[in-house]
Amino acid sequence: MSIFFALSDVVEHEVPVWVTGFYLLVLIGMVVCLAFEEKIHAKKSLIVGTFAGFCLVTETVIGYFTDRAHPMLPFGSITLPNGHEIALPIYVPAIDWSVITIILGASLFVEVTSRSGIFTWLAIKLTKQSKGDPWRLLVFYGALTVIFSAVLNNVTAMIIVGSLTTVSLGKLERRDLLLGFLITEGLLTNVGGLLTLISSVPNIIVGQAAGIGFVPFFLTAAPFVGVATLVTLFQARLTFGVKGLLTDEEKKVAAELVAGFDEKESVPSVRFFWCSVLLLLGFIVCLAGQSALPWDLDELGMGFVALFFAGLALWFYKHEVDTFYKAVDWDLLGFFASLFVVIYVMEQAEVLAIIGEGIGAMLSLPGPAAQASLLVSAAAASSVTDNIPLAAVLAKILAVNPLVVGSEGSNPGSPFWWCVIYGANLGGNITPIGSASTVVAMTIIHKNRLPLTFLGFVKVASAFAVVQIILAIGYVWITSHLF
Amino acid sequence: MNEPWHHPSPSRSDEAIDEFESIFKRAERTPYRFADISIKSVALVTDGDQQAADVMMVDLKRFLPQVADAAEWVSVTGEQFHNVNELLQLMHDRKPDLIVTSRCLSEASLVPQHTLGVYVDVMTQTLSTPLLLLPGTAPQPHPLAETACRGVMVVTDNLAGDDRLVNHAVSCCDPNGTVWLCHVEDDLLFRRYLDAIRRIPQINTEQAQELIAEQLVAIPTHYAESCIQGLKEAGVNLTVEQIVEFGHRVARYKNLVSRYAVDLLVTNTKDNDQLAMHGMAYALSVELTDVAQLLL
Repeated sequence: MSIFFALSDVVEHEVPVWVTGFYLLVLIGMVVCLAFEEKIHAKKSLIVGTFAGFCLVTETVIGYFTDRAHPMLPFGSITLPNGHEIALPIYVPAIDWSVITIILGASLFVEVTSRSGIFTWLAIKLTKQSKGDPWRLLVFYGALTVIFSAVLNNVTAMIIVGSLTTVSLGKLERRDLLLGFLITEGLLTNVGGLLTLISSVPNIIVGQAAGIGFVPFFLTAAPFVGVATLVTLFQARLTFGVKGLLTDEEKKVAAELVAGFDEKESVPSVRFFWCSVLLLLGFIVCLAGQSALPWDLDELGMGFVALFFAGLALWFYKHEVDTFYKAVDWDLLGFFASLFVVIYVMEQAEVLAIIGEGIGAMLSLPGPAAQASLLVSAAAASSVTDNIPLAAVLAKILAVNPLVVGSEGSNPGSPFWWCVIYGANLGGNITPIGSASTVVAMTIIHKNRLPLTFLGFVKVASAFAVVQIILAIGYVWITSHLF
Repeated sequence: MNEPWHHPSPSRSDEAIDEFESIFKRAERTPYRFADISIKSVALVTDGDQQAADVMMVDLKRFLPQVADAAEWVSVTGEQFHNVNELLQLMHDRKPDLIVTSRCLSEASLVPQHTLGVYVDVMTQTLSTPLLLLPGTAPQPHPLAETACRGVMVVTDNLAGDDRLVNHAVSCCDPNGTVWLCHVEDDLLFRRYLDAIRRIPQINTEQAQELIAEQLVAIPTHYAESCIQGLKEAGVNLTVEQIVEFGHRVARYKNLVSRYAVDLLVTNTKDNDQLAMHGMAYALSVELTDVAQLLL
């Protein structure tokens, strides 16, 4: 458990009701601003950073004037587990650094290994294997989207598979299928993002808060991801009229066209390619076995594993590591750091306690109804705003709810964690702004001048999202009874 | 005047999408497809009499033995047509797979220079039939090679994907001969684009020059490699070589023709955007009069 959660377990001051109400409005304001990020033309990190700064300043000043003996923000030194005290600004321990290091390490690692051409090689190889048959191509690209979303991240997966789809369907002269393919891939990124603990940020946040390990997470999520992927692909086949080729002549022409792709073109060095394959396997194995690492190495955490492998990979480009540092999504990291500060402030202002009471009432419903309502609420909220603040807030709230963590204060097996994970991820499929990867899907769709409006997307995608959410409700209910 | 200073810079995802599209497009190859060009009928058009036509036909059959064996040969002599329309009508009626003729038909009195003559000019523009232009002009013919056609040079400014051009070249070449697949990028045009790039601060000029040149060479080179592979798979054993370079097109081709033992040039004449003959094909056909040319 991180310093962040350890710090925030106890709120020792009285908070006036008007202060809680004020910060609730601030939180709503931040969520609305994030939902209208495109209209504001400001990056997430700046929006949330501004709110974080505002919250810190106002809560400090309000604390000074209301109850100076017990300020809302607990200024002072941090006591380390060995008893040493360390002076840190309040906003430093407010940040969950385990989450930040996982994201930083994993994104650096992926940035370097993707230079080896490993992902594009695989994508082209599968395109050739499909022999240009549209239905096989959809199945292969669907599987590829899920795998890339799980191993890389949803946005990169959408960019790689979406770009290849544009090129390959253009070559096959089947641009009539492009819209259906891109929508399906956009929807599958959020399904694939459920596969592992590090596949999406909500997974990392909720998984860390719940104490779910990499392997248990994978074993629980994999069957659902498999079923949801298949159902989505068949639904796409019916919705978009994707059919296999019938005549031998059609098959021959299509096969010849895709055979023209040269997968080796994207591999700059065979040696680096195979090293990247080994590094990637090592990365996955170490993440999976992180909790079983010997000699207390497990104490270093998953973030260290990610940073360690990023460091190893960087040695292949030792003269130009700064290029990769520049490629890190600092906006995303700044957004997370600021978000943790905002949530910390909200906790001190007892805003989370108020929301928690509402969620507590929901969790008190009979078993399946409680799970379904939490999952649907999370999905609905995630469809209109960023799922990361949602996951962060809900993880904080559930981490102190006895119905979730029980009397021992920790219960990684609670189905409610999974309701948040499934809801936060799948809710992104309802609207084009519901997740970063569907935003990218829309960008590719518009870049190709395909006619699809916001409402058009909702009309098509919500049918898929409803099916996926129903499947998730059923799956959480079944697994809560099995395990 | 509005200066385009404030182009919105692409977002992070726009850049990444573009980057991956480029990677996949670079991996895209235009495969060569071999097709056996069967020429079943050949029309020899001359402004001379039947006797002269018969002599030319003997030379031609020696020059193109594969065609000689398979095709039915007819001759259209000077007394059968008196203007372009009559000749076109004859060709429409006979529908040959290949027309063989000379520059400057029926123009002996004009002492023609640097021209194809009105008959050839109109035939290349209006007929889709390949036209084999004999060396020299009708008034001053040059002799054909004394052996079968052993050196065929494909000349184009866009080799990639032009299966028709390659297949015709292969069909005219002796099985023991050599086909050169030539692609010359216009360096003047390239320099003009680079001058424009030099004025754009967002683009690194040196990098742009290197990368664009690399791709301009890579595309025809990959296609030529595909041709070599495709012909081998089709059991065509003649020698195929590729020449891909930058330069002034006509000057380069003149240089290449003088450097290699070329018996026949194969080039495209049709231009989708204009009725007139393709600029480079016209320039080559009036300047390189010593070599036979197959105009497609």
